[in-house]
Amino acid sequence: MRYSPKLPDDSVNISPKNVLSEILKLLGGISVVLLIVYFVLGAAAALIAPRISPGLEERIGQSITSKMCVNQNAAESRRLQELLDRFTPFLAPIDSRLTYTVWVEKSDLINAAALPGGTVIVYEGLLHHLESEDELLFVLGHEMGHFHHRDHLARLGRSLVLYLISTFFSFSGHDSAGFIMDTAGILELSYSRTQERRADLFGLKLLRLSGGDPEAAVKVMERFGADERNGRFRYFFATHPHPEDRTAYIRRAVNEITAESLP
Amino acid sequence: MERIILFIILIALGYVAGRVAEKKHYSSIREREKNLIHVPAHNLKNPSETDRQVLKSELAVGQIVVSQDYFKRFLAILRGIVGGTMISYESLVDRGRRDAVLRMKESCSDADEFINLRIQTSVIGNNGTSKNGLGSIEVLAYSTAVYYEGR
Repeated sequence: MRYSPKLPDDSVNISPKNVLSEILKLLGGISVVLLIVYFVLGAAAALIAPRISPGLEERIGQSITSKMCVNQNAAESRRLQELLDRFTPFLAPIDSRLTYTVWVEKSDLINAAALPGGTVIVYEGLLHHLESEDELLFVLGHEMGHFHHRDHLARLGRSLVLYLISTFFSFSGHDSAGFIMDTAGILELSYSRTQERRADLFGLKLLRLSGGDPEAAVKVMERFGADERNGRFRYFFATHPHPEDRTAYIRRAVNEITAESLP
Repeated sequence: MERIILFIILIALGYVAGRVAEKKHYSSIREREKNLIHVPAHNLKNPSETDRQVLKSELAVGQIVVSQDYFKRFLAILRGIVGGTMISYESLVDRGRRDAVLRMKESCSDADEFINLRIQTSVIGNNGTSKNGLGSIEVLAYSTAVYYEGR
């Protein structure tokens, strides 16, 4: 038997496919499927949210508030509760399904949130940034806006969908799970910015109905805008619209209100 | 956001660096194959030149560990979701196998023939698609190096 030397043929064992087009195809296909799942389940969550009974909502709320409401500032809570109660006569019948309570949490966070079950949690840090009662009323009204539109429940449903998608990826056991979550998170944020805008306008309406000065809303936003050191680009990734944008549309809304009230 | 940027940088780095490394490796492999192709290596049990007297025989071993890069790993994970040919790992195995055989030949550079060639593969540092998996393969090639009398 003769040995005839032959160099290996490179083309046999390695596919001639381009890895870049391969990765684009795979990424595209998987994203499309995930997007469909995300929107379908998200829509389902939004559909279910308004149908959750107050009783169930309170039960969901309890499990969340027990984790978030830990260290109460009782005096401030009472003060804010009185302010919140001013809204009661102006609430739509649909909003009277819950009893609304304010909880001021001892924390430096500059934030407030509407929790399922009717609890408005306000962090002390935010109070230091608010100068008048009307400004407080606007912030509380903003959170009431979330209750009115049931954003707090829909968001809960959406978080659940995101969580499901992320477990699907952690199942495949890779740090790309984090990547997918972040990308999906950006989608989620723009969704949440629409909600924030709606809540701002609702808060403005409540502020005016309860006899407050609408200019206070503009002042709050201007102050946050001045404090804001982050660039505009960063705001693409934020849960709230940029304070300057918020100032602008609140300003417009205030101008419309004053124009209406003129004879 | 920071995580997304970091991830994209790692993917790009993996792609560029991986491509450069692979190209270099292949050019080295082709060059050495050209130099060593005249020495037969096969998996038959007996020496092919039956009319010649065997002077000496010994175990020849060649071994190499090749790692994946971040890009290959990401592509493999996506493939792992939908199934199909893992093209990102094909070149890894091909390079490992060819280089291991070359190293085996180089370990007995005076041998006339390598018989009973075996190639084995194992995973080093966990599966590449698992969390914290390094994803390297070890390829081991071993055979009997045969030296004939009267060269």
